[in-house]
Amino acid sequence: MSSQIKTQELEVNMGPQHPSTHGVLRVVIKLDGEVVREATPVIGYLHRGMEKTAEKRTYFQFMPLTDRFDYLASMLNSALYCQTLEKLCGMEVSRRAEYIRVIMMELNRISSHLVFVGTFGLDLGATTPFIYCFREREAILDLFEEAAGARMTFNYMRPGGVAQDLPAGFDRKCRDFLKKLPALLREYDDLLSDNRIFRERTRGVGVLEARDAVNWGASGPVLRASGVEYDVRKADPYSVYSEFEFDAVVRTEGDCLARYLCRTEEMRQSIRIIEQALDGLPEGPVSAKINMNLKAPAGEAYHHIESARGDMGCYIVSDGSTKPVRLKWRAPSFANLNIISKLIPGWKVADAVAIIGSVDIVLGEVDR
Amino acid sequence: MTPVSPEEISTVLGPRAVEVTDAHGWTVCRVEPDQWYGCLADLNRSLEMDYLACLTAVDLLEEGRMDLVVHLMSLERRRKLAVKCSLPRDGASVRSVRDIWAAADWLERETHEMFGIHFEGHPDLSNLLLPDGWEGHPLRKDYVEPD
Repeated sequence: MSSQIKTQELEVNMGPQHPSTHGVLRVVIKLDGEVVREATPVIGYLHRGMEKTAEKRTYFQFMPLTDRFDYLASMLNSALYCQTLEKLCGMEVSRRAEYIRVIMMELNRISSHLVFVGTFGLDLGATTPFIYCFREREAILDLFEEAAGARMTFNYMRPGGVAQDLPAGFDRKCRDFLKKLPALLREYDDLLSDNRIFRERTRGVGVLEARDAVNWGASGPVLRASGVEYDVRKADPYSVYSEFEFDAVVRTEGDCLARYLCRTEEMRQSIRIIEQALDGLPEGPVSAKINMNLKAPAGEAYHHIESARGDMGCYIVSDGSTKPVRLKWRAPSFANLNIISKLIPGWKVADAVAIIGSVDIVLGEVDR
Repeated sequence: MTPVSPEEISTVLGPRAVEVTDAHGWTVCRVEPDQWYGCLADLNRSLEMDYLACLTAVDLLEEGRMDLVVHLMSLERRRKLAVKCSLPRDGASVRSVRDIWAAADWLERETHEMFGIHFEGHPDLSNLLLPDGWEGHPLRKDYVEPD
C-alpha cells in the first residue's frame, strides 16, 4: 500500500441554520481533515434595515424598535438610545429614573449572561446547565414583566426617564432573587466551571492577544478576557454608575475559558450594583413630560455604554426636525464576531464551535 | 475618558485640521478627503488612538455632500475623538484605514454598500449585510426602495 494518502481541502457551510451558530449566522469553513484552515463569517441574514427605518420614524416611534437590536439585552439598547437622545436635546433625567435604569440594565446583563452560560454549555455538550440558567432567567423575566409588562422587548425606557415607576413589592422580590443567585452561580461552577471536560475543551482554546483584540475593536468580556481593562461604566462613566462600587472583571488568558469566567464573575458584580441601587434608590418622579413630536436640536451626538456584549454606541445626526438624519448603531457583537476568522484557523471543528460560542454574539445587533 | 483638545489636534495635524468643533463631549475634527488616511495614521501614532469604535457616513443631500465619520478612542490614555471628511455624493473615494485598524474591515464594507463610498486598498468590498447583486445604496437619501 502506498504511504501517500491523497487529501483534499473541503469547504463546509456551518449555518445559517445550525444550533451552534446562535441564530442565523453562516460560517464558511475550509477543512483539512478535522482541522479548520480558514473560517469566514457570512452575515446579513437578519438585516432589517433598522438604521434606514429610524430615518423614517419620529424619535418616539423608533423607541420600541431599539429593543430589537440586541434582543437578549433590550433594556441596555433602549437605555442607550434614550441617553443619546437626552444628550442631543440637553434633557434632564431624575435621579430615581437613573437608578431604576441601572437596576434594569444590570438585571438584563445577568439574564443575558445566563443565556450565554447555558448555551455555551450546550455547545460543548452539557445540557443540564442550560435548563438551570433558563430557570434563573425566568425569575428575572418575571421581574421585568411586573415592571414593564413584557418578558422581552420591554419598551420600558423613555427619553427623560422610564415608562412607569417600579410596581409595589418589586424591591422585595428583586432582593429575594439576588439573595438566592450567588448560591445558584456556585452550582453552575460545580456543573461547568470546575468540570474537567468543560475546562479541557475551553482552556487555551482560541486565544486572543490583547493587541489584536484592541485592533479589531473587540469589547466587553471578549476584550477584558484578553487582559485589557476597558469597561465603559468605568472608563467613560455615564448615568449614575460612578456612585456604585464594583470591579471591572479582567483576566489575562484570552482563551474561551477566560471569556466564560469573565461573564460569570460579571454577574456577581452586577448583583453588587443592583443591591447598592436598591439601597440608595431616591424618591422622586421617574419620567419627564415630553412632547411626543420631540424635535432634536440640529447637531450630532455619540454616546456609548457597556452593554452585556461590550461597548455599544449610538450616533444620531439631527437637522432640527422630528426625525433623525442618520442613526448609526455601534454593535459590540459586530466587531467581536469578525475576530473569529482570526481565532478559528488551526483548531478542530469542535473547537470552532467553542470559539463561536465564547464570543457570545447576538445576530439581531450584528445585522441590525 | 476625556475628549482630545483642539491644541493637541493642532500639534499633531497642524493646518490639516480644517475645523475643530465640540459635539456633546466629543471633539470633532474635520480634514480634507485626500488627507484622510495620513491624518488618521498620525492620530493613531501620536495620540495612541488605538481603538476604532465606529466608522460610518451621513448623506447630506441638501448640502450636496456626504460626511464620512470615524469615532476613535485611546483605551490606554482614556481619550476620545471624532474625525470627519466631506465627500462628493457621487464617485466618492478615500483610502482605506483597514491596515491601521482591523476594526475598519467590516465597517468600511458596510459603508461601501450602504452609501456607495469606495475605500481604496480595502481587500474585499463585496456586500456584507445586503444580498449579492443588490441594486442601489440603501442609506443614501435618494435611494428608491424596491416594490
